[in-house]
Amino acid sequence: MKRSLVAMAAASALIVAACGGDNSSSSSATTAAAGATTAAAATTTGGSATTASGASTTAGGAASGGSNLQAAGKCGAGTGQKATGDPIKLGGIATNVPGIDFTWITGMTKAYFDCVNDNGGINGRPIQYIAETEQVDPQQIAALATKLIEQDKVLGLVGNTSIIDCSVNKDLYAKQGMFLIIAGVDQACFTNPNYSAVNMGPYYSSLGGAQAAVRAGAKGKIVIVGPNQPGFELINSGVIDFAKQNGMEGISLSEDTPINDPAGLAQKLVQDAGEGGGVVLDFTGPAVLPLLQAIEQQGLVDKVVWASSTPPNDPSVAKELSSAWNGKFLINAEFNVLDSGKPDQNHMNEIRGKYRSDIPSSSFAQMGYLAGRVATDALMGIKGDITKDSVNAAFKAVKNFTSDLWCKPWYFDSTVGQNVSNNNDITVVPKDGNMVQEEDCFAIAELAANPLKDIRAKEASLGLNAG
Amino acid sequence: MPDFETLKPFLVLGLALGGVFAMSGVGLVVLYRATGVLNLAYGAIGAMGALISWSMIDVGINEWVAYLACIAFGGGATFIYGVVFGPPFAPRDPLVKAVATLGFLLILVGLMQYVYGRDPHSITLPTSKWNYDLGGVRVSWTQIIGVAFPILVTAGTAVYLRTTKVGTAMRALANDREITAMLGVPVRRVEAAAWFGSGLVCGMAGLLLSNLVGLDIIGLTFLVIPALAAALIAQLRSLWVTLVAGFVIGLVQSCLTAFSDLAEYRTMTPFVLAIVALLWFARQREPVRT
Repeated sequence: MKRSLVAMAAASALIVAACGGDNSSSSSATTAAAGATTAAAATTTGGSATTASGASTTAGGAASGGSNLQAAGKCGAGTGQKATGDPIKLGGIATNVPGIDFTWITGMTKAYFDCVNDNGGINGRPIQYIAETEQVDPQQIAALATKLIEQDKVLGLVGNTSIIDCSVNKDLYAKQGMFLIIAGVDQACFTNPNYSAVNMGPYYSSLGGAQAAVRAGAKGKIVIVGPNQPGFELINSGVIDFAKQNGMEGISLSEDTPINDPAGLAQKLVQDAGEGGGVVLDFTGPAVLPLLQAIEQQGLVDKVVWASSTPPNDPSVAKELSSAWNGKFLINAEFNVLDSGKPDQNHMNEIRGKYRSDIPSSSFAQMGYLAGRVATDALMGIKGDITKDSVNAAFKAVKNFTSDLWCKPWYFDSTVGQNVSNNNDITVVPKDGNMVQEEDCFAIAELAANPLKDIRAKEASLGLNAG
Repeated sequence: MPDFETLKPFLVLGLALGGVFAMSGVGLVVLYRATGVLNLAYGAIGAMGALISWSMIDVGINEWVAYLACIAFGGGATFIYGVVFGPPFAPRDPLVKAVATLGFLLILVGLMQYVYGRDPHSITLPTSKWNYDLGGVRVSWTQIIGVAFPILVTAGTAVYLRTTKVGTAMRALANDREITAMLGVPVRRVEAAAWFGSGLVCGMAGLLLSNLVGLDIIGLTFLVIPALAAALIAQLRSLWVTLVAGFVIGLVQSCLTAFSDLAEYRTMTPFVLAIVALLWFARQREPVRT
């Protein structure tokens, strides 16, 4: 009897573990950019981006320029006075499951709004930001979105970062006339006119990683591996298509996170890519670190060209890597390096330190900062009543918003029904415990399966993404 | 179908990983036999020890001292839990005792997430930098330790249980706690020794796994599962069967990585092997019908 009870307890534990241990995660992207200068032409072949080893970012439009209403280094009006009027309600939803925590993004967006509230708010009115957390459950996230819009009566949604939000709630948001400033993960976030992401998401960021790998000499095969999450095939497909376009073989893999056998995975990746091939990793920093260490311990660093989507562009990852990785892990960075010393980056560091020092300085923090900053600028530009309609119209109307975190100015609407306004990146690499810029801004590859060609044509005709 | 050359590195990795699963399984079985407690917090204790070790190295304390601290934490935390919660839970059934350790697990995980936050952490043992080329496969001393140490721990534990007074008392406790107590055996002291010994093994496993698998709070916490599977395959009785089962789980799981069609299912290995074993044992116990 006793033994049966123990077996039951053990079996229960096994089931609990099976349910909870395998989630997924993501990656996402980010990036950086350095100034808007060099949009070198890596386009479809990946062959021609400017490589500027160690080159420092040339500060692009920077926070002080363009049509930005907020001054560089200031939140909102920057008055230093607490806002006390009727709150303006905004909301956000982020995924948080073992192995992936996007609440860093909504957390940093809230930190930005807290800073705005301490600096006069929006014409004296504070922003009340309601951040919800979801566990990759379609019913839960549908309910949360409904709650925010209908019960909490938020006027707009900012900083949403979820594996499934864009897919599940797109009809709701369209029906409600909501235009969301988000950090996109799911590819649906980039194929729907109601969303515009400050990042470019794992599909495009992984693609940027593959371009960097090819420029660094990867040949034969490119392997892309990401978390075993809904939609990973679509996310990986960009790299596969890019490989084919360049006469290479593309292999798509997924892996449960946290990775519980990193050494085995490292061996498999090298075997699949073959000597001199390329491997693109699409994991968050905490998830990818054990894998990188296993690669090093098994002497596999030089067997293939290692690249990644944005998330490992994180000083805490660089700090844990040994010098064996110096210059050998090509990370597509959707935003500038975190110690660029540029005005917006310094401002982000300052806000993070003051309001949410528990959030790691990371690309995710950059996404949250940018979402908050863009939304604040849009709110400040509203003439007349601040209503759901006017807020969403203001979000949709954002054009050429500049920040030294991006390669090019950002806009909401490309008018082609698919928004990928962040479509130029840099490449960073770890070096002696820091992340340093390896390549200047380059254009993410245009493929038959992605809309970048159409988007760039529209950008040119509408004067978007210019600068 | 991968050839032997392809499988070679996975065999090495599987042996090392399986060895640590086996060692953890042995620690679980010894504790269960002596106290009737299935310690589900085993992985979390190892993870916490490894993180303490990381903190000490991070502030410049000698790394060997930090490694010893990991092992000491495993022994200390387990000992304290056993001394404080062991006696009140002693008369309860094993399910309640196991669930109580689940509570301990949750407290530790919460504490780790609060203290260590979300930044990535890592430990690289010096032994991981000492490598040899064995038939074209790189083998590190950490992997060699991962294979050899569990065998030594199992053999040492078996000898200890057979030849020492405390060991004999532990075996007696495994058979009947009340009769053992009536015979004058200091039950609480013997149980405390079992908690402490099991905790030391837990600390060692945590240190090795943080190097072989990575220092991830959730990842390490749930690595109790393969150890639990190994212990279940041994029906929570035999140390040697636990040892072999741990190695088999590690080997099968690792080698499946080389099979493209099966690789994504390899983390199911402990579940599948444990369930197959439990079904087989159940079948063995079925009465013969005429």
